[in-house]
Amino acid sequence: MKARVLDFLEHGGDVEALALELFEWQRSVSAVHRNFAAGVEPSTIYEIPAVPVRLCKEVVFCTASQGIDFRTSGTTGKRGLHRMADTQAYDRAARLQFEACVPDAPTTAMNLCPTAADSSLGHMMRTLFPDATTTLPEGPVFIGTTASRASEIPDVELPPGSVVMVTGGFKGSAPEELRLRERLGPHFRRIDEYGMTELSSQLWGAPGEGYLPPRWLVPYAVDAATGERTEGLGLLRFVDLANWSSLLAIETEDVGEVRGGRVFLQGRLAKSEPRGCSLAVE
Amino acid sequence: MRTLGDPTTWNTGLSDEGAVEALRVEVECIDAAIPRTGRPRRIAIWCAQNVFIAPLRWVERFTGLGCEVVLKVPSARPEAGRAIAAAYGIECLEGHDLAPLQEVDALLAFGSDGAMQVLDAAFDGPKALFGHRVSFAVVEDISNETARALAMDAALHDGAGCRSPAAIFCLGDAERLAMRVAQALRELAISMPRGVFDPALGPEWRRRCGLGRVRGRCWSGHEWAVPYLPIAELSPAPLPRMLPVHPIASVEDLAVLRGLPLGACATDVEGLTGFHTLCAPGMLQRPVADGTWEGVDVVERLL
Repeated sequence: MKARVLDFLEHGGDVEALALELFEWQRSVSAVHRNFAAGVEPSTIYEIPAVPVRLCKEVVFCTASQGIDFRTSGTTGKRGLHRMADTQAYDRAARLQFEACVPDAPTTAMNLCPTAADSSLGHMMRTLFPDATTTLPEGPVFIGTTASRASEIPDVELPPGSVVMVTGGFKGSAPEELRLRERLGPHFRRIDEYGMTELSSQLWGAPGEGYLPPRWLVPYAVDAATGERTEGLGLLRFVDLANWSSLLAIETEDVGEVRGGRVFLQGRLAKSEPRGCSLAVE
Repeated sequence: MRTLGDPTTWNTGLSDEGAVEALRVEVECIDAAIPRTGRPRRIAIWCAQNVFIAPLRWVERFTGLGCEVVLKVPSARPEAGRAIAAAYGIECLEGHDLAPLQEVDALLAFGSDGAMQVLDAAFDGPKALFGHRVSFAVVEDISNETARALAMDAALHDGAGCRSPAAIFCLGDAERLAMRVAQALRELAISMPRGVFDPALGPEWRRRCGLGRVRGRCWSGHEWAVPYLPIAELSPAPLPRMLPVHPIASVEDLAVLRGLPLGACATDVEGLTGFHTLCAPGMLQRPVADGTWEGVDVVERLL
């Protein structure tokens, strides 16, 4: 299966057919996948049961008994775990999509993303820029940063050709974006990355233009209450072929819309309303 | 008992059938109560959101004792409170202003722990404040009758109240009981459909169903679910029309509940401890309106 997926990443093909085949394969080799999807016979890619990301805090969905573990930051409590058999598909997917979305990226980089071994974002940066530094190099530079660490970029005018990648977004904070432009000058290009620990693939896009998914990642939105597919704004789900050994389909807690082949993110799903005197959901 | 009008027009969040049944059950409980003596002169009753009938028994009791009652209704859903206030001819407060508390002798309040802290700090007089609680069922009997009774406990108020069972612990054939509870919830979804479902609960709903399928079993329909799981997977907060069943070998297994703000327990097991109130299955949402709540003599407390 891995070879089939790697081939798809390079050359494309029928994404729905391969997704359905992957679904059946995962179910045949993994009891966890089998039980999770018990009684489900999907006929379209949208019917593949999606794992809610919060379930990854309790259940490991991996077709291999051992593998590479990525963990969420745990800012909302217990850390989620994404285990994959190996990172070959992840690495290939990351490079291919990055090259497609940022074809003119400089070869030198400054990395302000997490560097922990179990950080998927850290792994992506290491994959794309193995020689990245935490200080600003000379010449055109690619700067990868989380929104919370963007202020650590030195106040210098970046040379033409530079690219600043912000992941996590400024949460719609226009002043933050303006400040970045004031501090770093007019020559650099901003690009945003959307990814998550539970995905092997990333989406990229210029601010405000939506995120472009790779051809092996199928995004769609569902009604948050029912989990049924919706054409408008809803909870985002992704079918990610690069997760061939783990979470083929996931349900995020991000609200957005898929329009014109791009994903427009609105934010996190609102918290539930107060539950009267019963104990509230965590 | 006053005539209250039509609860289906009160924006209760429940289905029409759910609202009618919840009101009927509450009136039945109040009618069965024994009048008491002693009273504060002017009392404020602070209502929680989501359990629209909660203030009714207290309004009936305190107006019956001759008290002047002020009803503070939840801002998000004021309609039911307004209807109760109108029916009893009592003052109805809306909004977040705490100043009216200066004009009452006693305070009875239900709601979140945060709201209770605010009220506790704002009011120095006699008060009875009831914050978050979580209730459960512990049963040996797995009959259809017990399953139907527990399903009704979960269905009334769609899991929003502190007497809604978060889970059933079963000393008998728990899997069979789970199947029967599922059947009962399936039937209730038709006769008394679930009300408004908060979209923010969707991911948690699907997590619990998924966990049930991976670690145990899960029966589910459009508006209901019964995950069957080991007790280690307990989620101590009820969701609307979801009633997990956990097998237990003995009541010693209930040690996992230690530290939770326990409320009531529906049970057929003798000698359970740790809960404010014990009752039979099917009676969680039908507490006797005898002037006590969570083991507290409310009238006595507010004198």
